[in-house]
Amino acid sequence: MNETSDVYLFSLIKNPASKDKGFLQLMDTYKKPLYWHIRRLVVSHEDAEDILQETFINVYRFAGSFKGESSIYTWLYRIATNECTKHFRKNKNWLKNAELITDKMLGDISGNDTENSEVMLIKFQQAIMRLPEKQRIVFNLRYYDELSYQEIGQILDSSVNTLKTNYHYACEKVRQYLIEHA
Amino acid sequence: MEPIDEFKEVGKNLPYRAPDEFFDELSEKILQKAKNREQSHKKMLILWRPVAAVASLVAMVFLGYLFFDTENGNKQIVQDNQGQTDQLIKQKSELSKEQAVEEIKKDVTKKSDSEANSTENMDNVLTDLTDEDLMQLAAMYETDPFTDKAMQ
Repeated sequence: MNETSDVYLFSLIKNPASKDKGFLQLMDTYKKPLYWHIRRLVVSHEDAEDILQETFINVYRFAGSFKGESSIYTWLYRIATNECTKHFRKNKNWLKNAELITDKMLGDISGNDTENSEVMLIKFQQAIMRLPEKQRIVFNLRYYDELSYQEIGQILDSSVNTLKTNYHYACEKVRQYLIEHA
Repeated sequence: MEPIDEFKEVGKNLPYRAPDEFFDELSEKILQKAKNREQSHKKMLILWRPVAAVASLVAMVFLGYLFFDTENGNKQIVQDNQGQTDQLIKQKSELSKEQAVEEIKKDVTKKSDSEANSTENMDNVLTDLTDEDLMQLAAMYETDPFTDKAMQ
């Protein structure tokens, strides 16, 4: 995202007269990437919708406290990721639910004689879901959102070296799972 | 920047789908919810401010009451203790007075007893003496240079 437009959007949000207009523009710009980031982490659409709403409500409430030390993009990802982490803490058996969802998807695909690539995608997601929480977040941010380690570091408050190690181990584990479940 | 494609065979597609038209009007819906949430927060603040003020006032009054109550309690305890010690001192002094009186009485009776005994002893001694001894004693009395009679 263009930094100039981010600065413009936030100047709109910080001004009470144009707050709603700026907020709508901000949501239109970021709702899709944020939704898919959340969805990849929590799997269920309903949970992803709730967390996305909560993320933007927090942005609306605390927009005044944004100091511009990081980009808006990473700030939004940080809020969304924190909301996901809260969700994991609250619903300790979320992984079981997520597995049920993917198993159902896998069943639907096998029954409908769908392409092998779809089955592969689901197995890939199952492998990611089995990763430890931090590795899963790092893998998603790096592999799907293609964020730099510096940006991920701003989102997760971690050093670049730690994130590189996390991503490396995550890739190894996913590869291992795919080989074992081929 | 290098492309991130460790899993080329899988790609970056997802097996998940978002419901049709999910993103349409999502922004307006969330904006409405955010506004409602902010209003309810403001209402809560408006409601809670007087409640918090009253609660802090009650707490202060209660603390003040506790403080003064303990101070008065301490004074009462000191006064009670003072009264008790005064009483003890009084009792002790009365006891010692009584004891002193009794001791004096005992001393007086002892003295009078001993005086009575001494006169009785003297009478006994005199009755045991013979007439000759008595005559001798009388002569000694009359010739004793240390008695008043001898001086005259």
